[in-house]
Amino acid sequence: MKISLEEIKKTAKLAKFNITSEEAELYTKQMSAVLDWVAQLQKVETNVPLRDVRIAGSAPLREDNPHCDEACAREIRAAFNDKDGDNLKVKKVL
Amino acid sequence: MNASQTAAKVRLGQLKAEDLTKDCINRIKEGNAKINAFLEIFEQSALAQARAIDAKDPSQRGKLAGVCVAIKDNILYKGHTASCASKMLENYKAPYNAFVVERLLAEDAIIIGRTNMDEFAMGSSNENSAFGPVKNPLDLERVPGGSSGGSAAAVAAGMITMALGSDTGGSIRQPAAFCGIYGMKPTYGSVSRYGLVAFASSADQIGPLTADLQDNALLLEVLSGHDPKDSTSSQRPAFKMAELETKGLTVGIPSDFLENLNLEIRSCLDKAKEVLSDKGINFKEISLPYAKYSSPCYYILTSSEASSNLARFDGLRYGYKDESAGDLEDSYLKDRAKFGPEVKRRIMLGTFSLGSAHAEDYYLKAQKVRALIANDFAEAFKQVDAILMPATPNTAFKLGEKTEDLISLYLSDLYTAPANIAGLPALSFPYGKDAKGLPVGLQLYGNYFEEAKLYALAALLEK
Repeated sequence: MKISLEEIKKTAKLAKFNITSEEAELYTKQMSAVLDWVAQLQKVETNVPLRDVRIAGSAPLREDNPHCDEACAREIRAAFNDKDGDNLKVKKVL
Repeated sequence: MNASQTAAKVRLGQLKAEDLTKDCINRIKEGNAKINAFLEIFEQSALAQARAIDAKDPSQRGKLAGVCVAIKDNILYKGHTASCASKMLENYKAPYNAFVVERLLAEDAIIIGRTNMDEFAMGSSNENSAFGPVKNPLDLERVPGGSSGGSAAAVAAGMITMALGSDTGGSIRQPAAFCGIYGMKPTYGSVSRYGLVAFASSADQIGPLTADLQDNALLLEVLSGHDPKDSTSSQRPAFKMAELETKGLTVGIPSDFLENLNLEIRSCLDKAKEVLSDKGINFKEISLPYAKYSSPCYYILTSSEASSNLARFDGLRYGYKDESAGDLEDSYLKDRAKFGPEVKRRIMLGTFSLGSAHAEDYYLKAQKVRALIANDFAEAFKQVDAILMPATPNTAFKLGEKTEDLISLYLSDLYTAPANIAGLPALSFPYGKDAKGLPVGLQLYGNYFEEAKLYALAALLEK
C-alpha cells in the first residue's frame, strides 16, 4: 500500500513528532515499502477455528492489594527531579 | 573456565572475586574501543560488590559468586544509568532494581556494566544505537546482530562469560548466532519483565547470552521464577536444569518454512540432524504453514505496542526535557525529537496500524494471524518434542550493508520472530561456519516451559 505524504504528516502529528519535509518524504518512501511488505497478511484467511493456545499457568490475575508502602513511595518521590516537599513539580505547559 | 567453574572456585576460596572483577574490567577497557560493546563499566559498584563477596563466609556465597555479568542497557540497576542506547534517556538513573538484577545480586554475580544495543531494542544489527554501532569481534567490518548486540559481542570477545539481553523478535538469538555464542529466549512469562524498559510487552522477554551451554542453563535458573510485580509472570515452578534422557525424543523439521534456505546454513542443519540421529533422536517432517507470516505480523504488533509504550517519553513523565518548549504540544514535539530514526519509524508504523481507519486491516488482522501461528506450533508440539531450524537466514552481514533496505533487515528475524509471536522458548546455538569463517547459528524451539529439553538436545551436539 502506498501511503501519501499527507498521511505521513498526519501520522507524525498523532505520534507527536515534528518532522521536516525531507524526513516526511523519506518516511513516505520507507513506510510505503513496509506497508507493501506487511500487506501479505491481508491475504491470510483468518476465519478458521483455532485451538486455545493460552499458556497454561501464565498470566494469572493477582489480588488487588497495594504493594507500595511509605518507604517505597518515598523512593519514588526521591526519583523525581523537581519537587517541593512531597509535591512533584512539572513544567507549566498550559 | 566457564562461569559455573569460576563461581565454584570463589565459593571454595580458591579465587577472589575482587581479582576476577579487576581482570574483567581490564579486559573490557582493553577491547572496548574496538567493538563498542559496553556503554559503561560499573567499576566502583562492581569492585564494592566483589569485596563484599570476598568478605562473606565462603559457604554463604551464591551460585554465581564472583562471575561478572553484563546487563543490556534497557534493564534497570538502581542508581545506575539505563539509557536504552537513546539520547532520550541518556541521563536516566534507575530508581529501582529489575527483578533479574535482584536475582543476580542474590546469587553474588558482579554486575559489571551495561551493554550497547539498538535504540529501545529496535533493530537487528546494533547500528541503531545513539552511541555508535557495535562491531562483531569475529570480523570488525560486520555487525554483531541486534538488538542485544553489545551483550553478544562482549561475550564473544571474551570480555565476560555471561550477559543479559532482551528478545522481542530475536534480539537475543540473532546476535548470539552472529557472534557464535548461546542465547536463550525463554517461555513468555518465565522471566519477569519488571524493570525491563518496555518495547512490546506481549513479546518482550529477558534471557541469557553465554559463551558456554551449561552456563546458559545456570543463568536461566537464576533469572526465572514467579514475580508478583509482573502481571504476566508465570506461577509455575521456576526453570531448573535436570539430567534428561534424550534417547527417543522426536525433533521436527519444518520443511515448508525452510524453503529457499541458504545452502551453507542448510548444510550445517543437515549435519546437526545427522549427529542427533546417531544419538538416538527421531526426526519428523512437520508443517508450519503460517510461520512465514511471523515477521510482518511481528512488525505490526510490536510497533503498535511500542507506539503506546513509548508515549511515556514525553519529557514530563520520562525522558529528555527541552526547557525552551512553550505549551504542551510544543513540549512533546521538542522532547520527542530525541528519538532516533528507527524508533520514530516504528512508532509511526504503530500509530498508523492502530488508527481507526486502519486498525481492522493491520493491528487486528495481525492479531488474528498471530493466533494462527501459535496454533501451528500447538499442532506441531502434539507430534514432536522440539523443532530444529536455523537461527538466522544468513550469517553476520557487513556494517551499512542493509541500512538502505529495511525489509531485508527486518527479515533477519524470519526464524526467530515466531517464538515471540507464539510465546515459546527457543535456544540459538553455534553450529559450524560458512565459507567466510563466520559462525552459523542453529535454533531449537520447544513447547512452553520445556527449556530443559532444548539444553539437553543442544548438549548432544556439543559432545
